[in-house]
Amino acid sequence: MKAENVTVLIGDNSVLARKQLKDALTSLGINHFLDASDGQEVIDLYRTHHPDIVFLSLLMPVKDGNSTIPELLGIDPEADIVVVSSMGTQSQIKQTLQLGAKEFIQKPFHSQQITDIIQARLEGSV
Amino acid sequence: MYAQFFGNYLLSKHVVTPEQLIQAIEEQHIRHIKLGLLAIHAGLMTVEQVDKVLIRQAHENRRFGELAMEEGFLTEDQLRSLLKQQIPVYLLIGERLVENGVLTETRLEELITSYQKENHFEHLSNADEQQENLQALIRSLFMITTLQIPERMINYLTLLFNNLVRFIGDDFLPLNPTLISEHVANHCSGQIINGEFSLTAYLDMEEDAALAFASRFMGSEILEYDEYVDASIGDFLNWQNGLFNVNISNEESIELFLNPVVNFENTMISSSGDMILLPIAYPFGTINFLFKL
Repeated sequence: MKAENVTVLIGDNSVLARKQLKDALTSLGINHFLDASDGQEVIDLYRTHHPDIVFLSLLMPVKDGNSTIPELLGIDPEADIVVVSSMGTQSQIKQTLQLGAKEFIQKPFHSQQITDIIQARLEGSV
Repeated sequence: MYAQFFGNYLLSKHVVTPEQLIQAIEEQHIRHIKLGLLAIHAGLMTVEQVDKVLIRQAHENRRFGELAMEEGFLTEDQLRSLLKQQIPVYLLIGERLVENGVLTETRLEELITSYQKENHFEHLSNADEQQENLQALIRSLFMITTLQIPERMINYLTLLFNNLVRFIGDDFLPLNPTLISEHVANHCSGQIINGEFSLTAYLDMEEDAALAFASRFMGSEILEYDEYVDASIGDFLNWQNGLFNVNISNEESIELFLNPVVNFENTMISSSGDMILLPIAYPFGTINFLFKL
């Protein structure tokens, strides 16, 4: 997979959190993005665009992250979901991963964490 | 460390009024800092030594540093490092209070030494001790309200002050908290924490302060109010509450639940019970935290 061919869907109700993620991803050569500010928008966009990776916040209005994960996996059992959330308690991380997310990043994130996640995918090790 | 609480110390000693303190905070960029004060702060000279040099200075038209070196109070290296060090915010504010005629130079020097002594700043050797010290400062900050502050709230505020230093800057002074039943919010974010410990926290500020707050939070200057300004206020609050949840879950095995942040403008926040209003003054303006327990 090449960075320029990757499409990333970012679901977060904070426009700033979406921008910060986009900035980190752009610096890695990714430039196709889809924006969603709640879980339902994430599901609708996933269904029509089938992005390669979803960065998902947990605390969102309308439909939260944990309710969104099973629906995404219902559309695509291979959906690559990375949760980025301020609520990184042990039980929350466990629940999120059990639901089928591949990674959990605590907010505020370091750009190195994003780099590691993307590089692993570009190298095909995930 | 935690010199931010010096302003509150002055208020508790009734040597300044809140209005005089706020004026000094707003004017702190006007720098006429005295070298003697810096030397006391750095622990290089005593109040008596500074006074001796000042008396000589009144009779001889010579520089403070030159006279202090002649008296053997400072070495050349010490003088050089004093001249180029970054000046702590409470000294800038202290100097403004002197310039505004609120305090005399000598009184300010005495207050700085008694503040340092009462809070044992000179003996703090590790991070744990510093955090305990910060908690003690927070407790004394809240003594002015009659409300009994729960221990978890002290932990919440300890984290809050650390996050302000981390994400916004350490040049703030907490002002006296008050109990209120309503508050008119300007640019405000709110978030509810539910569970064994429940708390509704709001962060509110006026437009100019919000622009400066967001600029610092994002690390780039924002000149016009836009959605990123609201998001900065909301994200700061969300990070604070999320990290609080993580701490409380790690330390006490308690799982709390966070609701999404809500942003709103020009709205009255009211409560049937008391709310705590904690104003925190930055040079760019005051930011208000509001807590409903």
